[in-house]
Amino acid sequence: MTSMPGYLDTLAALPLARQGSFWFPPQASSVAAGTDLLYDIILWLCVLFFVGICGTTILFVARYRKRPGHKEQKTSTHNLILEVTWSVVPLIMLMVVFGVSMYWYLEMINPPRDEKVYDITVRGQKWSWSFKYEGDPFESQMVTPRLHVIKDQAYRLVMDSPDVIHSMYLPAFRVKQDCVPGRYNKLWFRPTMAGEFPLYCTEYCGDDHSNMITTVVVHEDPNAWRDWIIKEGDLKNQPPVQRGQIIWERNCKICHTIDGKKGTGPSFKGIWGKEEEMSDGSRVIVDEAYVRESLNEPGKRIVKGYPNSMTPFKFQDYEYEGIYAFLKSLKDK
Amino acid sequence: MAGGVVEKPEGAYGGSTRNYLNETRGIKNWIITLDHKRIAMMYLVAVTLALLLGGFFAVALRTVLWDGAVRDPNDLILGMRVEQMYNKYFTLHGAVMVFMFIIPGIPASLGNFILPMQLGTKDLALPRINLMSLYLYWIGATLFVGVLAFGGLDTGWTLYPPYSLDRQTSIPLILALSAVFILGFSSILTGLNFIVTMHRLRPPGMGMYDMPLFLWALYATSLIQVLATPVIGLTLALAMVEHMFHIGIFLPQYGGDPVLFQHFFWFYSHPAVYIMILPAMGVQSELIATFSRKHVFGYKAIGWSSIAIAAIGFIVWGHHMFVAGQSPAAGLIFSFLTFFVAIPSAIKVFNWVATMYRGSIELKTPMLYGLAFMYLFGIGGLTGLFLASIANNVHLHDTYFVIAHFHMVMVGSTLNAFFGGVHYWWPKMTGRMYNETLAKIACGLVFLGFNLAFMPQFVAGTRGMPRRYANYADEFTTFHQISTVGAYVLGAGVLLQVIYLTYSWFKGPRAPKNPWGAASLEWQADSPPDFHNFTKPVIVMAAYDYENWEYDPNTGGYELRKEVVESGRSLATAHH
Repeated sequence: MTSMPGYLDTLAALPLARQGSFWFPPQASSVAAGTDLLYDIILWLCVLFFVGICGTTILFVARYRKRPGHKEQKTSTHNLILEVTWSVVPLIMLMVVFGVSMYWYLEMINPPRDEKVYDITVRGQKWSWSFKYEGDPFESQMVTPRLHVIKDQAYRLVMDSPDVIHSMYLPAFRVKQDCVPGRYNKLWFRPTMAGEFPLYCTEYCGDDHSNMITTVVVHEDPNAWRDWIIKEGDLKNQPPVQRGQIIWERNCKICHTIDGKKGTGPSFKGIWGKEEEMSDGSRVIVDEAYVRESLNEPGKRIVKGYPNSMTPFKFQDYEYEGIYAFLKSLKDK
Repeated sequence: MAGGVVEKPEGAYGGSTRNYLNETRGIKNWIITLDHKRIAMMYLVAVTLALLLGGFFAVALRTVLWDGAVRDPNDLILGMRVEQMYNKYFTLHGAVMVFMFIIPGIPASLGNFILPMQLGTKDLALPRINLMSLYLYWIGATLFVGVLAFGGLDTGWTLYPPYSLDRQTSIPLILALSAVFILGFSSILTGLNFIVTMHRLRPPGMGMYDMPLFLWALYATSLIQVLATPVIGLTLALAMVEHMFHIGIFLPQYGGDPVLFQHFFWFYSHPAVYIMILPAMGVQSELIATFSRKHVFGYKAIGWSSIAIAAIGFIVWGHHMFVAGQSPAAGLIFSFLTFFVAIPSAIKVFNWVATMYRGSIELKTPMLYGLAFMYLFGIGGLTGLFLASIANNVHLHDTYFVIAHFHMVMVGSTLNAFFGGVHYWWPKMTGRMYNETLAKIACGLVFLGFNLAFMPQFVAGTRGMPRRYANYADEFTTFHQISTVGAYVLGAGVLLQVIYLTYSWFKGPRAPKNPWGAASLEWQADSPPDFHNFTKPVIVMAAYDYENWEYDPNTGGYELRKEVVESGRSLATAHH
């Protein structure tokens, strides 16, 4: 089971995260090689111009440096042919670059039409990712914290956010798309290399923006893919306390500790049944009703001394049960 | 003769040391002054303080990033979570640098001082409006200090909703929005003043094509300031109304659209990037021509390319939203248009290089900054091509590649030109010379610091390092640590400058009238200039005819040739 804050160690340990060239992460999607080639073309164009400009500058400084016996000479103050040439030639080069860029961009935004494209629903919210799959064995009841896909299969991701803007970035696939609240953004890709690759949030979303990281797992074998989704997504068959603990690890841990340490939100240690003072001065006993309200409408009543920065959650009944059970279990510790 | 020239007999003030700095004394006489030079110097001090404040946050955030690879999310430093601290640092760094340093930096300080003098005139066309700009700047800056006093802000300088608007503690946010709004008006008024002055106060015999290229650059800048800044004012006003009264504009819960804010924001803020770089290019044109002792090559091309950059700058804002969900067709069009910015930029660079051809290149400190500009702007400009290419942008968007790119342009180039300009006009502004050796060391530190700080970020970004991250994967540690060392080196260079420049203002040797042999009109004034700028009638001449001046070993500077003074006319007439 991948728990959220452990991912940094996981990433460092992944053999593939260290692969790729000096410039690039691994090329793990169908567009990566093409756009990297374009990057290289632009890079060499830049090197050409940069060396030309700086080389000429250095040459002129060396040759025409002020020294005894050297005097400046009048030269022409303009030269139409020269100026037109050095405007038009780069322009033509850039238009070629744009053309190649357009070709790859169209590849990136248009999913294939002649084959099955699998839909995955992506939800980015403060500060975790969740993925729901089309055609999984439990009719989309399964939500995984890592993105599981099958090699060489085309996927279309439908993305949204319930709170602020996030952006899903898969460096190994060279794709990125914002999750904007109030609209569905779409993205497609075809993984071409098995392995586990980082998945980042790249739109600043608050305190734990830099901890909103997970991975994409590319499976060779469809059965392995299915097994993993069940393993990570099937919470129904877990005992309630463990179910609650898994939900906490994926969604709550980043702000709510269980060891009494203050985080972005109050620690869960011993919180169940406790009377808390709210920011408006009222007092509330932490029970099923308050926990449920805090999950669905977190801004309604905030514990005094904490910011109103929690994202709303909607769960299934068996998940709420797990959360209550887990919180109760922390009371006894 | 040119407006406002007051003839004074030599030595009328006992040794002729009377100048704008000592004409009147006391703080009150500075605060209510209408003299563009005093206003410019107050701006210079203010933007330098902003630079130091923004620089402090830069060094602070780079320090946090030193060991960001593996860290417990709930670790506390000074009672604050590291992430929260970092988020405030990068927000305040960006906001202070953009709104309080880079945008007003060159135009309001150097431009304010030099523009009327390059026109051989006494002041800007609207001196009271100029003072009002300064007051608005002060008010905006004070509000920003208020943001700090009320606990800072963690929205990023871009203030994207919903994150920025949907919050409990709104005092810092409202202060910041008001500050940017008011600073915007300061910027608009300065731009307006410059445009009017360049149209109305050119001396007889000086057409638009006879103006120094610094003024063309300021003209283009002013156009953007006047036309684009109201848009950010309106946007922030809408954001404030939405935040306070919950009217749906940008927030989805009230029926608004967050991407609309991005369109409005970048409709200003993209042209604002050219508000930052165009004056720097203007300074660059002066530096390269003066220290090569050559008529600038392709005058009209450089002048009009400033206008072209300003114009194209208005139609490329959508490249900030390539992955925000705007339509692919719009993305392609914005990508296509963005490539066109490269052409006028390239034209300028080629022209500067050509200007040096067969010159007599003197490597004084301002010229070293000019050469550094060529290198840093070369990298900053060329790396823009990767980002203009939409297929690559999708990968590079919001990574360290973008950070490195815009720091090379906005900071590498603009800050370098600002330093170059300050060193170039320092003798004129203060009447003193700074220590050349220290100045060269500082220039070297700044250059080295820049490269260490930002070159590794191009690689980190391409390898997938997202921006605005307090923590990062271990593979990026080396890049971050080199960057942090670079930030310290850069900071040391800037501090060194502040120290020797401040020292020289009070204790430095007296500066000659024209230490560099430059030909634009401000060098005909004394150093520092008289309260009325020119004590003798200005001899109007083209900005790059250096043969009118000859070196005088007695003063250590250049003097107008006798025949020029006697005839009152330039030896040559310009052919651009």
